[in-house]
Amino acid sequence: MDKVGIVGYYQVKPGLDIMMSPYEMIFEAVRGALDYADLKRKDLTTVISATNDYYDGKTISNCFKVEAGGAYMKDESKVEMDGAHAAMYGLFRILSGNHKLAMIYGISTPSCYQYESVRVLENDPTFDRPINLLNSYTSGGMQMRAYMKAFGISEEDIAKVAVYNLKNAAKNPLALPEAKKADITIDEVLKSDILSTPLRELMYPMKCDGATAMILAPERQALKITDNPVWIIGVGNVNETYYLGDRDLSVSLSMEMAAGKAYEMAGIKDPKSEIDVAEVFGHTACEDLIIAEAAGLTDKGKGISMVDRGNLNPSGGTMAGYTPCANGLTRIVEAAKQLRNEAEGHQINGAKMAIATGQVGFCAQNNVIYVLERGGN
Amino acid sequence: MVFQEHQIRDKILIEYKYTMGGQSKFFIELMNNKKILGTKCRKCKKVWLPPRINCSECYEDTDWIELPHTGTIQVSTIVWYGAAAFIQNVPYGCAFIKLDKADTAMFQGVFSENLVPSKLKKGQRVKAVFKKKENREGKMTDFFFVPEDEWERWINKPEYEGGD
Ligand SMILES: [Zn+2]
Repeated sequence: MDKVGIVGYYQVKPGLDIMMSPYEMIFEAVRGALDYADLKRKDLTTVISATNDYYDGKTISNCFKVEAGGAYMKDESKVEMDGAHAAMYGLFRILSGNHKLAMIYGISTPSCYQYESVRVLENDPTFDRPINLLNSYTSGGMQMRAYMKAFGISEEDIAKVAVYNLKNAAKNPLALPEAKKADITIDEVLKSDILSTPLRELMYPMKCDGATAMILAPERQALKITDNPVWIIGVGNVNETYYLGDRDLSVSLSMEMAAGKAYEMAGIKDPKSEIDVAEVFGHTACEDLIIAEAAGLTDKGKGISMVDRGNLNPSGGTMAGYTPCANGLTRIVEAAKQLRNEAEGHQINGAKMAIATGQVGFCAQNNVIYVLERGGN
Repeated sequence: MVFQEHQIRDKILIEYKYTMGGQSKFFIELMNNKKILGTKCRKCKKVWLPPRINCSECYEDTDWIELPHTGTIQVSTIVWYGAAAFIQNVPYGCAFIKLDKADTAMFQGVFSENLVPSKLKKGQRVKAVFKKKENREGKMTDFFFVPEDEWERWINKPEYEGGD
């Protein structure tokens, strides 16, 4: 794969209800990314967004966002998935040779709709939806139970991951203020309300309004824009069955396969030693571990060791604030910031190689992973 | 949801129907005869439940196969907190259940007189309980599972019955 550079990005500061219209948020994010890279709207050749019709309460959810997103009279499309999938679409457009600058953004405002209820509409309407029992809580609870049983992990271990993430969030200036918990204890997590046995409230990320934008450029173009681009040197994407009953929920086979493809592309032979920092999109504190393990960063059942080392989700991951449609893109931007030494307050020293992941579906049905390398000096 | 004066309210109600074609057999047999049907791949013989019209692995046709009403819990949870769409059900047990003879697990409610995690452990034997014929409507809500040792008591309740 030819190198594609990340040359700019911007995250709107998230909030439980930030009282901005989605258009104001998109404009702030897209304009912010352009300003960061010292570029103008006219330089963009394509704009790809991640939004969701059900979350936005209208079909073709991108059609209204064209102008705020800088796509007026330009090549434009969207994915109804995660921001990390929008980045993949933008990457393909750059790699086609037809585009010099791609703006990617993801946005959602869960203060304006009932996120957990809307997610029930993700259920297959024939077998699962009528019984009205399968949702984000139950799938997360069953996945955590499967993981604990398979690897002899305790609730305290998962609480430890939640504490780690929430403490990291306290160091991240762009974390949701309510998620910044510098003094949280394992005991507090274990005493928080049960959502779905054994998943507890403080192991489950808070949903928040937010928007993230990122700019991609082909190698030559990227080097004209900045001396220090972050290179995308590998990408992998695998989807597995919708029916969770077909799957072993204690692992993520699709992420394992996607990571295999991405590492081969990037020439990574031993991710355990070669990857300095990982920003992964888990739907619960437990799923962070499952995804990190599937990405080959530790042995299966040993994800907790990354928490001890401190190189998993230094930003706090989704536990620092979960914005539907933007999560995976935020992970890529956070990883890019690590590689450019810009992660204010939560920088991993000397990070040269990173991964970032995105997903959609119950228990991470569809996974995408990026291998990112520090460019320039 | 909390509304402020300047915020615009909306509610979308759209009617749908889902046509299952030949797959309707599962729901018709469930409603009329309390049968649980899976599909078996003609090539690799894998038994799928929920039934699939083709084997996802071989990409070949499948045939209908009747499955027993007994099975084993693969993984389960008890839910204590619900969002608006399902709050009326809290607390409830649900699990992925692999019926004997099936190769994949089906999602379904598991009810128990004593709803504790140990009753819904991996490996727990469960058996299907059906609504009475006049209340069955050809939907997944026509049946649920209970721990095998509670089955006799559940099917003796006036609103339920056992299968054959
Ligand atoms: Zn087959």
